[in-house]
Amino acid sequence: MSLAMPERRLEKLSPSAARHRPWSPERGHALLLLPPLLLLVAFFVIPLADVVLQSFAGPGHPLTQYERIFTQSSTLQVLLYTFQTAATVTLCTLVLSYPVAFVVSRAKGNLLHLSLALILIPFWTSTVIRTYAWIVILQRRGVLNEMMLDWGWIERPLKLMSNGVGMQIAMIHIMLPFMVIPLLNTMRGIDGNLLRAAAVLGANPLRQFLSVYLPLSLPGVSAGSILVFISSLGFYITPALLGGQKTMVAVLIEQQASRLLDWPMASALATVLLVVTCLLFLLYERAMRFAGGGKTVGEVS
Amino acid sequence: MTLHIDSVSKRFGQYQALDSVSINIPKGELVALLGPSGSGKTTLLRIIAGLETPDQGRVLFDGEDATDVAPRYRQIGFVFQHYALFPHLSVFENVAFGLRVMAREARPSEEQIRERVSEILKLVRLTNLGERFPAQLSGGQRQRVALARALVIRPRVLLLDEPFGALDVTVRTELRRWLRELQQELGLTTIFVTHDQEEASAICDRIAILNEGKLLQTGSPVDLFTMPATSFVAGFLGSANILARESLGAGAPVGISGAKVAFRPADGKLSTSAAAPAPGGHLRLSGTIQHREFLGSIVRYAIARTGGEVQIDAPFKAGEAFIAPGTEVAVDIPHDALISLNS
Repeated sequence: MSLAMPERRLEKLSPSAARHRPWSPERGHALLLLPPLLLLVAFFVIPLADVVLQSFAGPGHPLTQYERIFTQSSTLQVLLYTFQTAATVTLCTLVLSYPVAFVVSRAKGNLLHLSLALILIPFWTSTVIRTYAWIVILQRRGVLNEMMLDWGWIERPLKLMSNGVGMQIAMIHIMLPFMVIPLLNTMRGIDGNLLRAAAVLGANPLRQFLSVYLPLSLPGVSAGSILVFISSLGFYITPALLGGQKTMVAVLIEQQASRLLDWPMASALATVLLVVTCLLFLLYERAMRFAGGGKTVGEVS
Repeated sequence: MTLHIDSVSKRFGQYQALDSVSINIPKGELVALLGPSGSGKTTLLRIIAGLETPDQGRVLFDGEDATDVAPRYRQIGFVFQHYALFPHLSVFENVAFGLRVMAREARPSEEQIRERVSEILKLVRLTNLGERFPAQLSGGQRQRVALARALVIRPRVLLLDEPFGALDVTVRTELRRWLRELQQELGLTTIFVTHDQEEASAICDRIAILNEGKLLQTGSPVDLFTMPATSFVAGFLGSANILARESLGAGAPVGISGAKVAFRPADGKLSTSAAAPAPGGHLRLSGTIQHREFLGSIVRYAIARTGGEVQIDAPFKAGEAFIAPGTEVAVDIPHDALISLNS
């Protein structure tokens, strides 16, 4: 999309032409895109380009920072840990969300509205607030430990924070709606008659699920997974507040930028994260097109 | 397979979908469940398939009670209204589905599956489309895939829910004829749901007419057309003039017994010379022409008369003038064209 296009359109729209020809999305879309485009360029594209450029600045040859990232075991470990955490969070979120989405996709009336509200209200609550809530629950003298002590399940408070466990629990909780909503979207589009057709043809419930429902829900699974995985890769607040010795890459970037004031290093890390995210997204697009087999998946008559 | 439906009732909340419906369907018959929407015909089909459980009554397959048998054990072919083809599977895999999900002992080998699917694709004339996906097919082709998928498991009975509803008229008439020929070739007991009386009359051995959850009448298309028992059936299968018996006055023939009398618009003969006496063995109604519709081979006149309007179809002959509205006319109906109705 070039910036010149809207202006050309403007010339064509002389007052008389505008009066005679009704507005249509085909002719007006470029104009509608202009304000968000300007906003994005000014406050997103330009700063991002600056970050990428900064990563090549600093002392030494342009790739010094990248060389540091991929040779120092400390940064490599952070990257590895970030990927591991994102993968764990994605998998757990998927396992927890799939049945929920299935039930909600079948719900009608009040049950549907109630369950949608239960999914969306946490979604609208700030991540910071929810992370603090998890601190209250998980800390040494927190709600969970006190409860388990009272019931005699444990003798000493468990260490649930600052060691990755609490961070992952909180991240899973925060990510749930990002998984449930794409799943729900796909599942609601699955024609219930397909399962009935499978049943009439002799398939048992497991087979109905594996051969029909699961493949048809895969677009939702991959959309939700990619969303959660990418969001988890760059997650900052929850790892910063609940994380332990091992840090996620976003926390490392923050340390480099505001404590060590190593801007080139912070920029290089951010660029690595950006590139990985873009690659994942491209891979996902490819996979979706391949799985689509000519736009057939999910299309229900 | 013979099928007995024994006083089946089904209620959805306040809504009585089926009210004590009983039908016997002998082996190899093609039966239409005909009725307006909401008459319970689809519910009955789903009960036969096991997709719905009746509140009361039984479904017997070859005399065996199948009421509580799960759909997957019934070995029936079911063609859904919008076909419900698996969008993620090729035509070949859609058809093979019923074979692949069989229990291991009964499942044919890969080679046998290939053979049976090819055979059935040939039968439905889709031999070269096995690799396509449902989205790449026309409506008529999808319909035939759905049929192939239902037939490949060698069903004991074939059930079709509005099988031609989503197709355009030319494809519909072609497919229904083909379906009839196929059904007779296979000798397969077949039940299909439709709201189109023409479709039902055209290809069925028997028609069961449902309305508001009740089975009104079953019989061959000819029987139902010539001897409808109620005004609903008379009006639903073709058009009919329905008159209260008292409104006929002194001219009512002796043979008529029911509360109402019906006759088909084509059976009345119009004449403008009302002075001449009615021919023997005819009922005469008189009135004035109210309205005229030219329908190609016939002209349909609406005739206003005391005791209710009647419609008469007159054959159209080129060069002959229409009868002008307001003209006083006489309608003569032969006594044997009059049908007694109970209600």
